[in-house]
Amino acid sequence: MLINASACWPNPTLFLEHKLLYAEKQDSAGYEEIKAEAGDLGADLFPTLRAGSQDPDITLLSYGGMLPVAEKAARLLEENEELTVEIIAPAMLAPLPRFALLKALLHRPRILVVEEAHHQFGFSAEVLAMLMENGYRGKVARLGTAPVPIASARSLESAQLPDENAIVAAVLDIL
Amino acid sequence: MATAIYVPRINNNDDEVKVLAFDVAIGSKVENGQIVGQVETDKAVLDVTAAAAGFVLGFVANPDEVVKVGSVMLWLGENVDEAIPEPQETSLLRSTAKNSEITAKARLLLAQNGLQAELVTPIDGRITVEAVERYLAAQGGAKAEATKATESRATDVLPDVAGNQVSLSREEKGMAATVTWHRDFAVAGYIEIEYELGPWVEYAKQFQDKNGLLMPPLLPLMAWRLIQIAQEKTHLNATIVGNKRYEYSPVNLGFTIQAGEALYLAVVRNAQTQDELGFVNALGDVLRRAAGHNLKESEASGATIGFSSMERWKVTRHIPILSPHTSLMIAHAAGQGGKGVLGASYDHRVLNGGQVVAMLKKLAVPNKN
Repeated sequence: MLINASACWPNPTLFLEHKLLYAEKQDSAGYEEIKAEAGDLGADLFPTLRAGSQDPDITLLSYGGMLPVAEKAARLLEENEELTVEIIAPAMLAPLPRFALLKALLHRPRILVVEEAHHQFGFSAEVLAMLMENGYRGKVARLGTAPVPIASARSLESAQLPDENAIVAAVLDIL
Repeated sequence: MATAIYVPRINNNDDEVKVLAFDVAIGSKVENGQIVGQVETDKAVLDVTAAAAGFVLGFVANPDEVVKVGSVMLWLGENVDEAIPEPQETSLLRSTAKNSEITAKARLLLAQNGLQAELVTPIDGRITVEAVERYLAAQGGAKAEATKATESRATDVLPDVAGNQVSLSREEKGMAATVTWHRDFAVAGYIEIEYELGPWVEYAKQFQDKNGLLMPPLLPLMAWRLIQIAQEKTHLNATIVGNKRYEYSPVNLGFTIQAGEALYLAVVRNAQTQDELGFVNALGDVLRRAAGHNLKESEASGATIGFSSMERWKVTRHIPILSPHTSLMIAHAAGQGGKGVLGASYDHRVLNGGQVVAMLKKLAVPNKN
């Protein structure tokens, strides 16, 4: 799918490879494609996916290696906190599929963007700024890695990266 | 004493591995160093060997299950009948966060209903949605409304003064929805011009005589003129959705009418397909049905442009609220000394002041053609 999309895309494609996702199955796992909007360059080739409640208490926006963690957090929120959860996962970060994301997110009551990356000045900041510029009125938060180098020690690295409990805590904070 | 065989680490990047299979059965004897099963990561499959001899007492992990490195895979005992130690959690779906006494959803429900948690009896030690709903049901509260938690704005709590909550009628709910759309979406402006009443009064009188009507239909004729103008200038019959202007194909004219305590926006759909007399009659029909509280659903929704008059109350100017997904509502009022004020509320996202003034100037005189 990635090879086909890259071949059809007339511009260079930068694929951010996530090593820990190698073992994941190629399985749509309940995700559906959000219909590509005409104004979103390349969105038909690299779709944005959606899963979960259509009437969510909380929408988790995530991508790449953080997505399985967000899925675990979603299950915890549903099982332990009785919340309805939606996950939105763009396959393409830039050009940002603005229209599709606006359509999907503008009327959601609460949005948490979860990134494995350093989130300051990054993807989550851009998405949330775009929402605010377009009149979003709900609550938002972002969760990512603090602006420090990633530690080499396994224990320190784990403490730096968001896990499912950190996501749950961030969601409970914005309710 | 039972001995555990743990899930081995295969490489530093993988904190979780998949259990592929076990090569031994419960009760079978295992030698030290014997292969008991396999685990897999994305890079390799590894045999798991027994670090001691013994009998297989039982499995903790299951084939195809993804488990944490270092968790117990299976137990060996010195004899077959030995008891397995207390099972340990191997599932990855486990929160280390302590569950609070109130679920998050129940907390939202409590806030929406302005309730204190102390009022609600917990179920199995936790205040859940079910517990809150039970409380609401016991108080005669509306479950369907309570379970819908999509409002993003802060919940309005009950004032700290004694009072009764009264449910809104259908019409009152409609009005609340309309003004809420106006507040939340439209960027409303208002403009008015002064105009001569004479030409319109004369035109309405001629129309009455020509068609043998009981009354000169001044307001329906002005509304008809508005429909004509909206067909020429399509942005008048439009709204904004997302970043685009949505120009309606039909002109569905909404006309405000007060019927007793209820305020309706009666709608003539596809008004542009009617001729002048046809529209005057069609508007008369829906207004009569509105006065009798008999509007059909299609006649009480779907307006694309609006017309409001407060002449009946001798009001000389008013600023109407825009109905949902419209960008223009004409404000007609009572005239004085041969002159009247013709105003319009408009959504500034769709229309600018110049466009509205141009429209009002056209509307101020009947189209004699």
